[in-house]
Order: sequence, then C-alpha cells, then structure tokens
Amino acid sequence: MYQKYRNGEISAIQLHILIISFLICAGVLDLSRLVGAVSQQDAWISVFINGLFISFIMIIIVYTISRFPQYNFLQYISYLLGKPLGYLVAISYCFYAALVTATIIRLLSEMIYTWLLPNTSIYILNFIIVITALYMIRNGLTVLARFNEVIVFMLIPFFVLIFVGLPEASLINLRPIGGAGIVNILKGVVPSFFAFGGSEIVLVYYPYISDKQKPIMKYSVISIMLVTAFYTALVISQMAFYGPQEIQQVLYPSISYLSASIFPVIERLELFFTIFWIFTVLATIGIQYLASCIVLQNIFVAKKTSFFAYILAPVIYLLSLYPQNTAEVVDFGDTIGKIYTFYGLALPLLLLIMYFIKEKKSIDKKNS
Amino acid sequence: MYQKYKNGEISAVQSFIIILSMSIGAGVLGLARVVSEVSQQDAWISVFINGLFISFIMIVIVYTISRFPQYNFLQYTSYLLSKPLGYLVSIAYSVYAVLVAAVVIRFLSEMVYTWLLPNTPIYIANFIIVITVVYMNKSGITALARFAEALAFLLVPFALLIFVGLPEASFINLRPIGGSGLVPILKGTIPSFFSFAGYEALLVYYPYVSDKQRPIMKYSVSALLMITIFYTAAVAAQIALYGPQEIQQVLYPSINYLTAVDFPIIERTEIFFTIFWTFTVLVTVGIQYMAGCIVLQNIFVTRKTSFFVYLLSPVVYLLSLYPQNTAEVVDYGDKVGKLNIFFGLLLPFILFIMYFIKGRKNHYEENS
Amino acid sequence: MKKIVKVFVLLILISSLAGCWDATDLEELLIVYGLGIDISNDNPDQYFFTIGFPTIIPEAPEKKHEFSTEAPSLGRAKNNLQQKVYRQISYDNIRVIIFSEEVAKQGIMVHIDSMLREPLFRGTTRFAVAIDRAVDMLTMEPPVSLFISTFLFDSIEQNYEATLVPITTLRNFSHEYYADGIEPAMPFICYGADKTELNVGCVALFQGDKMIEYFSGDNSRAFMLLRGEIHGGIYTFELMDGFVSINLKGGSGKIKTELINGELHIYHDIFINCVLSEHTPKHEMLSANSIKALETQLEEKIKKSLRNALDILQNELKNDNIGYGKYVKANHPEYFDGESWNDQFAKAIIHVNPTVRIRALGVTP
Repeated sequence: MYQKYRNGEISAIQLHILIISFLICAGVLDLSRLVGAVSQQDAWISVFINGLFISFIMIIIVYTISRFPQYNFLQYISYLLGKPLGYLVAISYCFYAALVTATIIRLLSEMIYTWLLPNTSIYILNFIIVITALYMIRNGLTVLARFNEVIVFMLIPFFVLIFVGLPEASLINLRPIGGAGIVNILKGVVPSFFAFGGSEIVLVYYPYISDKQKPIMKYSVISIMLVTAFYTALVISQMAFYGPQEIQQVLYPSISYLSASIFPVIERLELFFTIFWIFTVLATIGIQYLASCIVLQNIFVAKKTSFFAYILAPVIYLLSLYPQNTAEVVDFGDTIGKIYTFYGLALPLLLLIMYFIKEKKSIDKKNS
Repeated sequence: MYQKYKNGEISAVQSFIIILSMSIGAGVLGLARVVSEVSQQDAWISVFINGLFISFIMIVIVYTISRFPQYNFLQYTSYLLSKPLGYLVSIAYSVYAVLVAAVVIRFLSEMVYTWLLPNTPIYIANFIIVITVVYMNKSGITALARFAEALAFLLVPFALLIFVGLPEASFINLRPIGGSGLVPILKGTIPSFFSFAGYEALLVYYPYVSDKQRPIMKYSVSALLMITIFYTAAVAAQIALYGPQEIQQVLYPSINYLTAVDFPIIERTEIFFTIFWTFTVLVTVGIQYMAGCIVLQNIFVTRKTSFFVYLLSPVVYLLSLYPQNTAEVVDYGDKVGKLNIFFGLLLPFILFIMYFIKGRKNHYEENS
Repeated sequence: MKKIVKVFVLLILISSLAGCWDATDLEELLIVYGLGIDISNDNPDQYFFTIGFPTIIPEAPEKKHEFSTEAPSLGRAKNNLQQKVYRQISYDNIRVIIFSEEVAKQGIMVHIDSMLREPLFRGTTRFAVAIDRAVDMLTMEPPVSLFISTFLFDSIEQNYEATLVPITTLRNFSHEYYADGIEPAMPFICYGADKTELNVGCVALFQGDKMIEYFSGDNSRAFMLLRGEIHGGIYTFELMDGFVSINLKGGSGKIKTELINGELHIYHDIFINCVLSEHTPKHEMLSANSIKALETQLEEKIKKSLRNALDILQNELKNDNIGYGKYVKANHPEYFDGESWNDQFAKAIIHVNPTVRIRALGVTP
C-alpha cells in the first residue's frame, strides 16, 4: 500500500506518536495556573475529565473519517458538508493552522527570550524557528513523522522532571479533594481544553496512514490517555508543590517548579528542562504547519506540499511577530483558542451528524 | 558419595569450619562483661570450663548421630523420639533457627548503627544484611560451606587482635585466681554457654557430610576447643585490661578494648576489627538461616532449599525489625538464648538416651 | 549556479559563528553572593542596600568586597549600585539575603517582587533576619570562612540539620506568604559572645510579610518539632538533678483535626527518634523498663516545651506559623476561613502529644 498517496505515508504507530508529541506542547507551561485559577486544588480533576472528554471526541473523529479511507480532508468534508461549505471549511482551516503555528512559534521564542537569550531580538529567534520548521516539513509527511519518532524519546526525561519537586511537595495542598465544587471543576475543563488543542489534526493526517487495517482507534485513544495521564500527574505535582493560592503568582509554573529545588549535578534544572521542551514544541510547530500545507495542497490539487511550505513561511513569520509583548501573546493565544472550539469540538460532531444523515440517504436511495 | 543427598554436600573439613565460624558470632562482643558480672576476675575460668563442657556435649552429639549416617535431622529425631515428637522438634527447631538468625542480624545492624553508619536507618541496614544472606544461601549448603571456608581466614587477624591491648593490660587484675569462689565460677558458665550457642547446628549439617569415614568427632571437638581457647584468651585479656569492676560499664568490651590502645598504622583498630567481625557474623547468620531451611526441607520433602530461603527472608527481616531499642534487642537475645538450652543441651542428651533405649531394642530384635 | 548558492548558504551559516561576539564572560560579571537590606540611617523612609561579592581578579587587594547604596526600592538600588562598579552585576546567584530586624518589621514583600519577577533569580536563595544592621553582618569577616555569605549559607544549613532553624528560601517564603493557613518563618541571626561571633539559632516569626516576634533556644527547637522538621542535633534536658541529652535521629509529625460542638480540636502527634548521648543521673540504662521510663519523662519535658511555644503562638501572637490551617482547610473546608484563620487558630484547642523513641544507648550499658 506504500506510495499510494501523492504525499508520503505514515504508519499507524507514527500517527500515535504524532498525536502524543503534538498534544504535549506550549500548554504544559502554564496549564496548572490557568486551570487552578478556576478549579483551585481540584485542577487535576478538571484536567482528567477533559482528557476523557477529548478521548471521546477522538473516537468520534476516527469513527467518522474511517468511513472514507480513500478520501482526503477536502474530499470527505466536501462530500459530507456540500462542496461550497467544504471548501470554506478547508480554506479557513488553513488559516487557522497557520495562525496556531505562528502563536506557538511566538510562545516558544517568548520563552527563549525570557530564560535563555534575553539579549537576542525576537525577530531573529522567530526566523530561526521558522526556517527549522520549514526544513523539517519540506520533504513531506514521512520525514516529519520520522522526526517525531526520534523526538518522542525526549518526552521521557520530560516526564521524569515531574518528580523533581516531589520532596518539597505536600499532598495537603491538594485537599479537600472535590472541595472546589462540581461546577468549578467542570468550568476548569474549559481552560484545560485548550492545552489539549490539536486532536483535530487527525482529521488531516488520517488519510495518509498506510496501514489502516491496524487498530487506529485504539492507538489514538491510547495516546490521548497517555497525554492525559501526563498532564494530570503534572498538575497534581505542581499543585501539591505550590498550593492553589501561590500558583496564581507564578507565570510558568512548570519551569519555576524546577528552579525551586536544589538538584545534584545539574545546577540549573530549569534550563535543562527547556532543552527538551524546545524540541517538543518544534515538533508541534512542524505538525501544525504541515497540516496547513496539506490542506492547501488538497485544495489546489498540487503534486507536492513543499511549495506551500515555502509560501506560508513568510506569512507565518510575520504573524508570529505581530504581538508586541507577553500579554498580547497570551491574548492572541486566547483568541485563537476560541477558534479551536470550532475545529476541535464542533467540526467533528458536525461531520458525525452529517455522516449519519448522508448514510441514511444513501441507504434510502439504494432501497428505492 | 558425592551427589547422594538431595541438597549439596560438604566435606568433613568444611563441617569443622562451619562449627568454628558458627560459634564465633555475636557473642564475642559482650561475653567478657556478661560472664564477669557473675564470676568477677575468674570469668575466663568459667569460659574455659564451659568450653570443656560443650566439647563433651559435642562428643555426645556426634556419637549419637554418627549411628544414623543415612538419616537426616527429621528422620533420626522421628526414629528416636517417635514420629509426632520428631516432627514437633523439627518444626520447633526451624522456628528457633529463624529467631536466632533474626536476633543475630539485629545485633549486627545494631553494631553497624552504633559504630559505622549512625544515620542509616536500621531497616535499611537489616534489608541489606538479609539480601546478602539470601544470596549466600540460595545455592545450598555447598556454596555456603565454601563461603565459610573462604572467610575462615578472617578469623586469624581476629584472633591476633586479642593481643593488641596486652601492653596496657596488667595481670594483677586477674588475681586472686579463683578468688570469687567455686560457686560463682560455675554459675558463670551459664552466660558463657549462650555465646557458644550454635554448635547444635551440627545436628542438622552432619547428615550432609560426604566423607563420614573421616574422624568427624575429632574435628568437631578440636573446633570447639579452638574456640574455647580463643574465648578464654579474649576474656582473660579484656579482664586484664579493664578489671572486673570497670568492665561492667562497657557495653561491648571486645570493641572498646581496641580503642584503649594507639596502634601503629591502623588509626582506628576498632573499625578494623568490625570489618572482620561483620563477615564472621554474616557467616553465623547464613549457617543458622540455612539450618532452618534444611529442616523445613526435611519436613516438606522438597527437592531444593532455595524455595524456603526465599520464603523465610521476609519473616526474618520483619522479626529482626521487631525490637525498638538496644535494651530490647538484648532482652530478645536473652529469651532466644533460653531456647538454646533445649536445643543445645537437652536435645543431644535425650537423643543419646533414646538411642540407647532404641538401640538396645534393636539388639533384642536381632537376637530374637 | 547551485554551487554558488551552496557557497552563499555556507557563508551565511559561518556568520552565525560570530554570534557570540558581544557575549559577557562569566569572569566579567560581578556575581553577587549576599544581599543585605537595612533602613537607611540618615533617611528613615529609604532603604540601605548592601551587596557582597568576591573580587575574581587575582591582583585585587581583597578577596571580597561590599558596596552599599541608599534607595527607595531594590530596583532603584540595582541601578545605583551598577553606577558604582565597573562590571555588570548579576543577581542571579545570590545565596543569602539578610533583612535587618526593622526592615522585616516593616514588611519585606516590596523587596521580594523584583526577585520573583526575574526569571533567572534563584528560587533557592536563602532568607534570614539579622538582629542588628545587615550591613554590619555582610562586612563582617568570619575568621573561618572567606565569604560571610557562604558562611551564613552553610551555617543555616547546619542549624537546620540540628533542628534549630528552618531553611527559608525565596520559594518557601512566597509559598507560606500566599498560601492560606500558614504564616512564614525564617532564621534569625543574633550575635554570640561579641560582635565577631554569629549565632544562627533563632527563628523569626512573620505575620504576612511583617516580622512580629522571634523564638530562641528551646522555643525555636519546639517550633521545628511542631513543623515536623526533625533532623539531628543534641537536645538536652534537666532531669532528676542531672542532665539527659538525646541525639535526634529524625522523626515525623501527624496532624488530625476534629470539630466538636463548633470547637476546633487539633491532635498533633510528634514522633521523635533519638539515641541517648548523655545521662548523668544514672549510669546503668540497659533495660527495657528504664528506657521506657526515660522516654516517658522526656515526652513530658518535650510536651511542656511544645506547649510553651504553642501558647506564645496562640495567645500572645495569635499567629499560625506551624501551618495547622492547611490541615483544617483540607479536613473542614466549611469551617476554615482564610481571612480570619489566625483568630480561629487562637481559639483552637491543640492536643500535642510527642512520642520519643530511644533507639540506642551508645557503648555503655
């Protein structure tokens, strides 16, 4: 089945890895503060519930698109939503993906600017990130997937770093469990929803899987559950460390968390963390960037994605330079998060419903 | 005759070494204090008399069990004492052996805690000792006997250390010889009896001796006499240094004895001593532990002892953690020591008497 | 054509090698080790900041030096100090920050904001309050150590290991300040016999960011026992016309809370492991009974000392530096009131129950 699609192939396992490394990204940094602002010490419950919810959406997505194994993104949404609407959604998705890429690039450079290179100007940082991302994706999906396969091992030390602060943490900060009230816990799901943003890329990448006979549904759900477990553990440890009041005073709890305890051998643990974090975020950027290119390629029925990758590069670069300061970056991110509600939540449900309607119609047709 | 028994073999020389290293154990540390509490400056006489007495018991033991070269512990006790009583004694013996192993482990870790590692929790020290012992025993008697053989050489510097304090000692402290009276001297044999405890392990190990044609009786008795000389010399030297009054104020005379003198090259003789002592005690623990396992194996007629070695390790570990402080360890040791009167003194005599009764019966049967 | 492009790309790449041309070497930074904050002598509404740093240059006449300036805030002080020196000052490796008692009493949060905001400022920087002026302390030359800041840093560590003072870092302080149900505390440095001797054996108690009182001697140890920070150290008691000393070997605390008829009861069990290191009244101790009896006596003594410290906290200060509030918040969220917890704490009935376990007697019976 290899080489069937125009644009490279990925295996089911690679999709699994893509989902994991895509979901663990910029959201890690301040997840526990954002969620803790709403659901206090029960932030981890919110994150966990959200993880279950996203797994459910993932099931819907995979269920729907697995009915169209030969269709790409544009083709099946055109089929399900009608051609004009399909094109509209596809084009807006490109914009959205480019915007998300720009935001994440900016978050990454913001972070590098703060911690690592305070004297380097943002536009140089962004430029370097953009050309790295470009280089990563210009040979198509196969190469990107392989890159991710390599990078995924970086997540292991990333995971171990969660435990660094534990000697200082005290579980009393997590109690009373459920004390924030069910309403607040459920409200806390909303900010955590954005941290998980990205499950919709399966919509774009699914058609390029070469071995669809593998249990992709299982893989996707498992990867979401893994990410959920990771995020929940992260929020628990940080909440136990800071307590719900203090965590509000820390902009990036995940990093400050590491600078707060003395660790043998590695003097500056937070910088050590940053190395792993940069790679993870780069992978995220690449995946999102390529998603946009692939949709463009679907629209214009081009032979290769690399053309679009080059075209989008300056656009993304300029977009990533647009916010003027950290507060604006956060605002920009919030605005985009709202758009995500459409692609991550509404679109999968819409597609599922349309699928059932169309299905019924076609059955009716057959019967008549 | 090799490989005749289910569970490894030892040579007669090895049984000699086993007796030797078994008897030199935890008792060395406090012996001089405990005995001189009763018989004052004549403690060494008590120890010597006791040594002779124990050699006599040893003769009884070897004489009795050498009549049953093909029987293991359970078999000959069942034969001599009747089956139910034999089983009872065997089970009691295995419980006793486990208790002794636990007490000796605790003595060792108590000592390590006091002198070497004051900040390491007892439960960690005990854990390390128990896994060492399990490793020592898991391959059966042959391995254990070889280990004891290798370590027997450590007893040589151990014996030499007796002479370290001699320049400071004065023999006036030992006089008047016999001045404490015959009764206290004889009473003093009782506490010294406990530090010899362990020779009864031969009851268990004898059946596994491969070359029984060797003069085992001679070996065993000479082993005990060697120990007697060693102990007598140690006690005499320590009393000569401290005198019968001061020695009451020293918890572990054998070690403090070494701190009393500046020794060339080795700055801290007592720590040097501890190294040898740790190994000797490890062997004691191993032999006692193994004896318990062998008896269990006899009872359950299994192919290997290793199963019991693993099974007993958590039991021994927990038992060794039971006492809360030094005083309780000593109490605990005293209680277990009382059991030794039965296994070390009564049991050999009962077996001996029963042998004559049964043996005579056999004669009748043969004659009739 | 392709060759030219390749060479061009290569040239661009090579240019990045020059990227570090204006980097500041570690040797060219002025790395501050200690920071002292006082009230200015001349101008009571201004602060007086002192930095202590090692002079890395081998030819320098002194191994270390201090600079001071008067400024309304730490940010301004950084500016003033930078004008006085010839190198770029780096505050990211400060080991100890010393507040004078007056500054601590006025509130220290104004100084801490700039520390929390700097991304590279160490979360593990240690705080302490000095009984006198911090500048005197930083200019002092301890006979045993090159840098006073290192001396204080290690000295705090030692006293922490001896169960006398807590280690309060920037991170701890901010936690105890922001979190409900616990008030901050930090080491309090007094002078010893004369002004060349330091004694890091007291605990400064804070309400919010203002110091209100300090504990010394038995009270500061009782405070550490109550906080459950039991490590080592020798604890001596006067018992039976003699002295009994125990070597602490760690321990733990267990706090339970209960609401009975609207009254808050706090049950605090403290387990102390120790080794006997001195027992002058009676020599012979090797029996389970006499150890048990001694343990009971010690428990009573310790309980008295704990009660004493708790009485001061509850009745005189009405301030929960122990952190009972966190447990009350966890167990009785409906009762707990973050705003007026200190009042609730003052009214609470605390049952403190120490358990002493003597593990070993040393080498005499």
